[in-house]
Amino acid sequence: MRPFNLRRVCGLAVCAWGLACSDQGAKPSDTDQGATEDTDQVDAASVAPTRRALRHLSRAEYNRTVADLTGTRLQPANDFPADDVTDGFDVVAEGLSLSPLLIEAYDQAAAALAGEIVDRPLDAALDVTLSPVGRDVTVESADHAAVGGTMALFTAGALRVPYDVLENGSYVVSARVWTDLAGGVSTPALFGTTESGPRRFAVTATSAATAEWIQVGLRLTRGRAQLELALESDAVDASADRTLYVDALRVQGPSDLAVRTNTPHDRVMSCDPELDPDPRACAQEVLTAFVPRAWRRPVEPSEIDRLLEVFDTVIADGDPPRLAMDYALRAVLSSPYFVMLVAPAPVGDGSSPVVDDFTLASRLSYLLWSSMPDDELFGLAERGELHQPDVLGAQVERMMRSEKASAMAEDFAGQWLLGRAVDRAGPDSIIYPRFDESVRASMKESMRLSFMDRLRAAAPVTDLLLSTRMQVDGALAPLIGIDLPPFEPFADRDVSAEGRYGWLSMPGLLTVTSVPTRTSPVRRGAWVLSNLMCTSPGTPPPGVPGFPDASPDAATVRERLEQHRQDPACASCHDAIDPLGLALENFDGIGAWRDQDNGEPIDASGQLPNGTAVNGAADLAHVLGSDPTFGRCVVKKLFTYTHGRAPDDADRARLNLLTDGALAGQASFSDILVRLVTDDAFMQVGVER
Amino acid sequence: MTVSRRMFLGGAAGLIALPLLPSLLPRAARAADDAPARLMFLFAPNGANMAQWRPTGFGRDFVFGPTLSQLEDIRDDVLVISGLSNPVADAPVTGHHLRGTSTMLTSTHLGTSVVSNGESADQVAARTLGATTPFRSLELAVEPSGPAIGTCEGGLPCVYSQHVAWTADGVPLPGLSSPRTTFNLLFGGSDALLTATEIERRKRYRLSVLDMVADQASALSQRAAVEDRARLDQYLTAVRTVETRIDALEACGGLGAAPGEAPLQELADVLLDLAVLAFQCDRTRVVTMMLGAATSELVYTFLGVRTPHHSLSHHQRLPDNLAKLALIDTFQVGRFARLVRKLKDVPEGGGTMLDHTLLMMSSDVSDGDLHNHDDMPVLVAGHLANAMGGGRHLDGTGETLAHLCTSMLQAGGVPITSFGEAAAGPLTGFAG
Repeated sequence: MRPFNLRRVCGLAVCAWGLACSDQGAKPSDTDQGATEDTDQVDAASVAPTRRALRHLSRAEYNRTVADLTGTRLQPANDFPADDVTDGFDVVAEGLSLSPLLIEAYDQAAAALAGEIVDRPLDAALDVTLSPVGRDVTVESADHAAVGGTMALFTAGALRVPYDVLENGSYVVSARVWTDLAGGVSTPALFGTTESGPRRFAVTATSAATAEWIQVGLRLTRGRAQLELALESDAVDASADRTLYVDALRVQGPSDLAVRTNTPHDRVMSCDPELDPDPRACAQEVLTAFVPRAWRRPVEPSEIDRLLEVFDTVIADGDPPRLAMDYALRAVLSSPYFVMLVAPAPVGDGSSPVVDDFTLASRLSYLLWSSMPDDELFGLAERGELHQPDVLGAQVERMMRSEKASAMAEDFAGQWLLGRAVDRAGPDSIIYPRFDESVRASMKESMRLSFMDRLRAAAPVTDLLLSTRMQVDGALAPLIGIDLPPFEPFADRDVSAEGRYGWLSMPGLLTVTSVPTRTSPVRRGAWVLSNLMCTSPGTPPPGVPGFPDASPDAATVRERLEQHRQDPACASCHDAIDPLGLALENFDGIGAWRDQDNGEPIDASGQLPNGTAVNGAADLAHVLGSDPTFGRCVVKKLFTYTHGRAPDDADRARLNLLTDGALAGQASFSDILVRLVTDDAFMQVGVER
Repeated sequence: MTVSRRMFLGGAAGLIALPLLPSLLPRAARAADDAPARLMFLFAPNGANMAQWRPTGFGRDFVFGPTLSQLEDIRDDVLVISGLSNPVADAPVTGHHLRGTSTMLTSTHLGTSVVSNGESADQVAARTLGATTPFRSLELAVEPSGPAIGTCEGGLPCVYSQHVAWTADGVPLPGLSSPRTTFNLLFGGSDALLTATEIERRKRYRLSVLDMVADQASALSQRAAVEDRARLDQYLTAVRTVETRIDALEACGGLGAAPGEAPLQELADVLLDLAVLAFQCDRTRVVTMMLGAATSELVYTFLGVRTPHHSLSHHQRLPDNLAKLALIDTFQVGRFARLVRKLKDVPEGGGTMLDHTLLMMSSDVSDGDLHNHDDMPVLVAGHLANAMGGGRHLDGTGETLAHLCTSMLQAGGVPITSFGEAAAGPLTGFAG
């Protein structure tokens, strides 16, 4: 069969749009158009790879990295500005920009993470008594006096005492108070925290000896709280006024403390500078162990000294060692060595040496895990063994078996195969009442698990399109058309009897390539072209008539699309796009099987531009799966994700080798990944172009 | 003092009742004559249903169309402009939305294969107005993420869909969409519960951290490849900017806790309220706000519209689609109107904050189906320097968004005579 070639058919129209007539040497604006038909047989080894650019961690990478580094449950990057997506991925360096906003976000995230490391989590509730007299105490009452440890409020107004809350939770705060009633029955007092708002009390005790405790139960959050006690009104009548006395405040809690082990504090703080006789030596010990992991490379003593300067600055101001440690850790986590994937500089004489093993360890771990290297990778790098091809290959196999390889499904496939887009799909709830949040979650999880199965399988990558197996749970089963109890967990199930073959019949994919109220063969077809055939169909020119509404002449989506295609301006490209999407018409806007559209039987047949007839999803999967263009496209997507850039001219021979002969169709994901990571472009510094 | 409770109790709802707090304002912002000039630029994606938008009649005796009729009570504060074009956004064939978005405030042709753009009007303004504030400018956006499907419109880099604010170096400035993050950024150095000494010390500590970060970036840059050096220089510039900000932070006490996250129907309001609060505390004087990204597919279910916005904007002249678009337009204009009323509610100097502010709102295209860049939907409001003659519908045919930018920048005291790559002068008839 002839390879699928959109440009042969659509070329005229594409040229007319000024999009891809790049054969005259101009760089195509859409990189997907490049490097598809490179017949020149350049020896891959003779062309040094283009160097990889420095870039910052994507949001997903940042969250995974801090989780591996400190064991935190925080996901600070969720608040970062969104990463720009270029060439289909958020790890493509060219599109990522560094704004002051991002620097501020790093600063905030570092503060949150450092605080969590430095503060020892409580292992028991606290019971702290505070004095109402002291330098931290503020008094708003115009007339007041401190006598010994007692504060007297003569006029209305508040007294505030700060308290640093170490753990979120339920607390009881109390104050020991008494009053001069001045003839009244009781004295109105307000007590609580500034943030939560105080509560009113009637104080009746009239001497220190009979003083009463007033108390409030409330939830406090980590950080500084202000206990607030106020005399609400001092006047009884014109001749008499009341006084409120307080000699102790007390904070007890949290009463709902959950004791955790292996916390960020436990993992990082091998000593506590607050308790250590030599706080600086303790800080040095902590940093010496922590920084090489955080910066993913061996660290010079001078670099630790530079961090200790930050520590010293805080100590010099008289603040406690704990705060000094906090800022030193913030410095570690704000450093470009932490937030950036630094690329070695080119050597400059045109040669391209192999990168150091620590750089290689990070390249590997960010490719397969979207996170920092683990101890085994660090160990291999330390011993200088990682760059050996057999070691690298074995590591790829090991890492793909790890749970962490799920990052490939979430970050690589999540973008390429649209798993992430499921979060934002919005099928119309009236037309698709079966779609709800549990179905959405299962659609996404099914894509993740099914991709992991394909990723780890020894089968060729074409299995992504041809496999008759899919991960299905009870929530998804009704859409697939199989009988399962509602809460049945996910399992790998045969779905061929339900007319489903491979990724193109995943409910999640079919949902996000539909519009909310109906299927969109155009979206589906265009997605197949762009992402499985790596051939961008471009976008519609202006002034074309829109998609016609349902009418007696054209009831089904297919008929409406045929009307649209009668316009020659539309036909030139839609002839290539539509049959791909129409073959999937048996799946409705949420990927459920249907035999009818608007009362008419579904016709899922069509003819591809190269003359191949296609009828239905199974046919389409086999046509695409047997086309070498698909294998090449998978390699290109993996290449772009791996290197943080789309393949360029210097990569042509390299791509040809990677997709060569049997490899393209027959190779498994892990074969391709091993080839990619043992390739010069991955292992070498590269040259500047 | 119970400012914090009144101001922020109940999160977003509390924000709406923001009182004037003269004691919170830095000295510079207090005196009548000293009230700083502020400029705001709002972007609403996917054009508008122009038939419903366009007023009838020009000059003072015009009648609002259905979409803008909600501006009646602030009629004299607003200038509606029809007929302005954005010619640099015209595309050979496709890419109208992205071009229209990224050039709304730059009036400069975009690079097609390499990302390049001119400096946006807000950034030009920030060079003058942002020199003394902790934040040169503040960028806000309701919709943070890129398009989910396929390559970006017209084969253009997707980065063009996300930003209206561009620095002179061609760096796009992403918008903040989390109220909490925005609050923490703006007021992070002025925790109401820290003492003045503590705030001063923490400033010094943060600066010592950034000092190390800058040292490391410089060291990296010195031995980096050319391409990386450009990126590191960008990083270093960003670090320096943050240093300047921290250095300039003055306590703006009594703010209370940060607002929580907000659903789509409230998000723009909460973010814009934070912008007003930033003005009050003089954190910044220049704000951009994107009510959606280019080709935004936000779904306005709370308006009863279930079709995603961009898909809907290809309305095919179908009455039902046009009616739904008008609902979304009315909602977007409602955010603008609410902001104007809000600024008008904040007493400042002898008048209100609106007297010292000029704001505009436009879009990437005019009609979402035609993708035309003539007759852009444009609203202006505010009395900064009495530069804009309100209560009118102005015919701007023959002039461009660049002319409007020139007029706005001049009102802000920015020493320019023209704006954009075509060096457009001020807008004819802007003052009335």
